[in-house]
Amino acid sequence: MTPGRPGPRGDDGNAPALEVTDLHAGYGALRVLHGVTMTVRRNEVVGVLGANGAGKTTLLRAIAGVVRPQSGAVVLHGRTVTGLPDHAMTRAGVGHVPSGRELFPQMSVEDNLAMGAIAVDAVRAAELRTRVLDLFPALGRMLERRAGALSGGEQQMLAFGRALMTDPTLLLLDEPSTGLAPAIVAALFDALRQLIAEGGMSVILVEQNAGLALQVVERAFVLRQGRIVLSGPAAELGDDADLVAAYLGA
Amino acid sequence: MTYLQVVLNGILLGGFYLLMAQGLNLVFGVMGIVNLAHGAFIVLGGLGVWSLHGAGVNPFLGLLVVTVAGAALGAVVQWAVIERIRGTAKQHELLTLMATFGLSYILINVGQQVWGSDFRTIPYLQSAVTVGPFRFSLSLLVGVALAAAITLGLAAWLTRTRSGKSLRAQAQNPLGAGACGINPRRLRLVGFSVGAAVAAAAGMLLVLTQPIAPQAATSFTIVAFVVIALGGLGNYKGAALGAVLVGVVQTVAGYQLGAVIQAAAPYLMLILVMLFRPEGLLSRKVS
Repeated sequence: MTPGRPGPRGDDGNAPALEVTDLHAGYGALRVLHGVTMTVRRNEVVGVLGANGAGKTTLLRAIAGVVRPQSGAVVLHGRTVTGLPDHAMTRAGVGHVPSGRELFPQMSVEDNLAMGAIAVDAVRAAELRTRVLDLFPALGRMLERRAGALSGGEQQMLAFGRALMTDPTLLLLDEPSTGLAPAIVAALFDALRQLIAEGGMSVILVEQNAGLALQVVERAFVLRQGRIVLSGPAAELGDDADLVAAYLGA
Repeated sequence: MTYLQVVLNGILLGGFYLLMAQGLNLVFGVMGIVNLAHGAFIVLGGLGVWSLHGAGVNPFLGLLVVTVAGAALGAVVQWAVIERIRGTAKQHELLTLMATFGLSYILINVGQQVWGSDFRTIPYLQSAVTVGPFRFSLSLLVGVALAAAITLGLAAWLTRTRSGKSLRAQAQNPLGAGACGINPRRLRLVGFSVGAAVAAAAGMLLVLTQPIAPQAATSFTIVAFVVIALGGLGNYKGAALGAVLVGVVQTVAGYQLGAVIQAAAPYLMLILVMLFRPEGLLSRKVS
């Protein structure tokens, strides 16, 4: 999160933030991804777009280690991490904001944030906490409340904040706008823009709302039936609205 | 004995039951299964203290020894058996449940080889204490005080320390715990080890107040299960209510209806809970 911070753990200094090569993944007999190849450069913000069921969430889960790839490779900052479990991916620098938020409902907002920083040293954790509460002032006013008692928007902020507490070098955001009121979506995306502006972190944003995503990302990939069918700079994809719409089924 | 005295004794018995249930609850939280060997850990802890007492060791020092030994045994069992079964199988929950069932029998038989089948108790702190109009045995009061202290210590660990909070996080949402970098394998080891340690400690408190034998292990598992089923699996506050309820119902049933009903009371309560409140008395229905 800090600009100019030395590279992440095990970094060789030059490798891209993420290289995914010919990735196949799914759930048991159900195959969802059929050979996805994509690269995310350092400090780059990319979007993954696609209709429902295209495999966007599965792609993020495979990168986050929640779903074990059936074949292919995941390389993080030059280090091969294919098949590592989710907790190891978190420690390797992947921050995951899952689509289901996956908070600890009986624990306070403060403790949910603290859990995010469980693998981070205390000094850094205190810096990250200040940073998160600066990005989401609303969270600072409800630190003692149980996560399960928060509104959907507040929960999404908390999931976002908890992922930032893991001190990620690559942040995975899974459909942050889903089911939220426009004002809350705007606040979340303002926070995202602020983070991006500060640099020091790569971001993969998965969104069904292509228009919204293309305002934030530099580059986007369009997934369809588990394959990348289109990719390019956000500006070009945004201009080619018909093409995107055709693939998104919008 | 007045009626109120019976109820008070039941509440005190509930203190023991709560301690017995806490270890089971803890293991359920991290493993997602009910550890059917829980009662065996309780019995081994109690008989261990009995043997140490026979060799001249003070029961409170014995408590310390069996608690540490319980933690070690729990860790070894988890690492050498249960984690391996879990790692190899697809339907690991059913298989780990079966594994704890088998483990229970092994431990009971080892216990019978070492201690035989006789019921043992430690004649310690036998004097009676009079509080106002009520009389309690000193061992019961000391046992309950210790049970309360251990329960509070456990609660402090779960709510204030990093490892305790991770354990609750894992129980509340395994996916979220993974996203925080929490290693579930290590937590299962910690959870099972602490669960066995608390069980062994509960065994020491039991052997001070009632005779126990290896073959009683199963009934202790059932009582502990009834307590957490009443409170709602994984619900620590609910377990306190469940424990007092089981203690009081059992004591009152024994006073009114005799020893057979007293022994059967936890089983009857289990059936009633399963029929009418399978989600527990305090838990809201989870969608």
